[in-house]
Amino acid sequence: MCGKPNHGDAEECAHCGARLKPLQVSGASEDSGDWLNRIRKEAEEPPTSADSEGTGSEAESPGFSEGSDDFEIDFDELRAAEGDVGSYSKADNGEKDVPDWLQRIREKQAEEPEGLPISDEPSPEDALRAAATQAQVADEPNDLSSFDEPLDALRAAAAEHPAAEKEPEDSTDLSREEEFVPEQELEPAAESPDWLQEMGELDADGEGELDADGEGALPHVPALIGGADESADQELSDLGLPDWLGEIEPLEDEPTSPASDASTDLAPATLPNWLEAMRPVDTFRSVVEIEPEDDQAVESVGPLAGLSGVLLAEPVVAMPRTSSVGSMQLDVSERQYAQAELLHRLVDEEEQEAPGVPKRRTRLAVFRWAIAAFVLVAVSLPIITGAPSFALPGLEPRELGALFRLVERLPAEQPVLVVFDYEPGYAGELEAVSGAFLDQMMARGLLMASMSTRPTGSALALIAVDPFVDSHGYENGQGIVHLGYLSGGPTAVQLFAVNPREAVLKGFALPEEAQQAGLSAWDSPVLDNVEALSDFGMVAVITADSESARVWAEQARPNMGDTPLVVVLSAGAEPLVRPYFESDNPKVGGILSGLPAAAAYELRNGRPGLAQERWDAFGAAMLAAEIVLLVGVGYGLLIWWRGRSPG
Amino acid sequence: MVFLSGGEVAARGRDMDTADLIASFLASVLTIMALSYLIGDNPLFKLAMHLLIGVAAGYVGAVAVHNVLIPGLVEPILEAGLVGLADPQLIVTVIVPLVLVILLFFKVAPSTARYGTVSLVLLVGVGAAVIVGGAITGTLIPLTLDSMETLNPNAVNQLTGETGIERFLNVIIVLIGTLATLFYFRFTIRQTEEETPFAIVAGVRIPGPLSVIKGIGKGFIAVTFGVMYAGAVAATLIVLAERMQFIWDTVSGVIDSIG
Repeated sequence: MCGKPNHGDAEECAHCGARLKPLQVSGASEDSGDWLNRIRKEAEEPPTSADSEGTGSEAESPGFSEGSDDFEIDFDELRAAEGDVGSYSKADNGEKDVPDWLQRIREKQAEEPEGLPISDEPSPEDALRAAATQAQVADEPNDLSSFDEPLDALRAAAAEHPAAEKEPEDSTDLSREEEFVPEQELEPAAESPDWLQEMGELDADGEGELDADGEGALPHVPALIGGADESADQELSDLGLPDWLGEIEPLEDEPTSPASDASTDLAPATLPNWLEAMRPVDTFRSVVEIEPEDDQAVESVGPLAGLSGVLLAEPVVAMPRTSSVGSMQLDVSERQYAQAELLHRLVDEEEQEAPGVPKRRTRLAVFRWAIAAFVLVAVSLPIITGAPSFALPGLEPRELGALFRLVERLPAEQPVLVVFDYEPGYAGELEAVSGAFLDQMMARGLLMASMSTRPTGSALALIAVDPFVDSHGYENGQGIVHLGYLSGGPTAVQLFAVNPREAVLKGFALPEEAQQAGLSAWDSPVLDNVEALSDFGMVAVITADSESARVWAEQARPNMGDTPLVVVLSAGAEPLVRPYFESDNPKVGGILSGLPAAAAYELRNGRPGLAQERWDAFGAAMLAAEIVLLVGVGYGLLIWWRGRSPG
Repeated sequence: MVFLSGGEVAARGRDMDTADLIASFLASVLTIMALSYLIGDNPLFKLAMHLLIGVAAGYVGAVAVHNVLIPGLVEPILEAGLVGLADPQLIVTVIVPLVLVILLFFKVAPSTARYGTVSLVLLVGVGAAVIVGGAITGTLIPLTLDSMETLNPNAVNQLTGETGIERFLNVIIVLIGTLATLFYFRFTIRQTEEETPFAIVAGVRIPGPLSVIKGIGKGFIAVTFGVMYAGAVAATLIVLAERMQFIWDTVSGVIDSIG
């Protein structure tokens, strides 16, 4: 109960007197005879000086004895106390050699025959205790002799206080005890002999009387007796406990009275810091709530039966309750609950056997292959066989004439900046579209500078102008120079429009001699007179997307002055750039888009180029594509018509 | 000035004829591997794509180093030396950009990514300002003003030469298409208003004027996307024709060289 260490063989706690081992009633009456004889012997012997002096507690508490084995004697004393409670005093002990209670014992022993007959029938108390400790009691016979004397004393007390029989039955411990005892265990009590029935009445009366007596209502329990502690200390010293344990001094105000006084004098328990830190907080909840002292129930079973203020053994040990081990109280929110439900449902679904999915028949992409083969054949036939042949466009776009005239009027002393802003994937189209445009400029001998805002654009520029360099006598660095990659996107375009020499520092694919000499593209004679973007005779942007054309129109056009901006476009990007060209104040001075326009441009130049070379293949491919589209539309209409028909 | 002459360039090109042939052959094989996607995703197509991406990435890295980093950051520092590093102009034009570049490298690791935020913020902020400013001053306001001026039937387009009734009709079509497209995107029409029919005659719902305008806008959008799609198809077919021409030329060249 108190948690203090005890000897391994100790049956009761040396400090608080609580029973450490289950009460086992021994069937050998000889044991009880020994201690009874020893007590008698001690009672008959005159007190020694040491005994008369004694400790204060022993002298002041006549009912308290040293050993814990004196439990039964305490009952006798209680019996004696029923007659004259509080009649004991220190002076009385000094005057009388033999105390009254011992004298009463002797008187009763004289009245009764020697040696109480051992009854085979269990006493009521044993029956109640047996209910609590069935397992232990079942193996050994009951030691009825230890309770015979208290019973006799109670009978005598009943005779001395007949008025107590008239008192109404109180809710005594014994009455409560019956509530916990199973019925099958109470049945033998109904068949008990007369003395036992008489004993039951006597117990009820006695309890009521004890309750009325206040302190005397509490039975003698060593746990509540101060003298027991002292005797326990002596036993501890005999056990050879370590020195540090012996240094522990007893509390100054040790309880010399039962529980009411002891509870007020107990020092509050303190835990060391490390243990306090390890103690779980808000995780484990105590099952047994400590009730206020007024509401504390009285123990009904076990050796502490009849005592109040003790820890109840029955609700803690035997009553069903929630396990205190691992009883974590989870604070589950609605969201967590929903997630848990979802997880549970997922697990359930996983356990379910999914219905078999029928294998889909592997369908060959016949239509796709047929269309691809048709287009490939259409494209390859003009290239391989030269047939079919398609006539070159007789009509040219209206904007082509304006562009052609613009190039024709460009001043020869001003270089033309050509921006190759497309990816390699569009090179096949834009090389053909821009071929005639580049051919016209280089045929005129215009100085040219190439640049790109894409890393791969510089290499594409080399490829695009390469067919015309030899044919028109251009030299790298003399008639044409490559500025290279302009990094930075729209911001770099604006920077280049403001100050081209700071935006592009070096150049691309410069002659080895120029590189060894540490020269840059700006040192080329092509760009001698160029300090700003307006110094170029024209800026041409060859691009496959409208975004690049829009960036040049927005960022560079305001800094270009009268320098025209020309855009050579892929066919897909033309609709989004055309508004810049058709407005009253056009941002774009010329526009060239699509292979038909390029073929017409070559016709104007009078020199066939890539556009005319691919014209037949392009025409055949377009024809094939149109046929495929028409067949697809017809097939869709057929499906739609069959769906509408009632059959 | 020492630059290669045209003859030297031509001689260098002649020396690379064999190399060009091999390169053309490899390019033709890679083209066929890319076209093999026609029969579905296959290892040949994947190999061609991996080669394209890897070569492109390597080439872009090399171009960035040789054309941007070395001339922009390394050479100015080497030319200036330790003494020149204190030059305020060099600090502004080279040192500060170099620090920003170094900070941008911290973006590669999540734990140090926050240090590169300064460079990234500068890039995004300046880029956004340039683009938005250019769009307003270079596209939105000029084209809006030009659209209003084009309503004059006496005006003549400088480049296309449109004038008279042709120009007027063209401008009207552009105006209707613009307004109808804006109506289609519901900038001014509530959902409940457009669903209300104008009248019901013999059980036939006659749509309201706003719904008619919305339908016109839808038609303009469809025509625009159709034109763009046709242009994309045309561009693709030109590219396909170029590739087939290239493959045929390569095969012919290989056959001629063998023969």
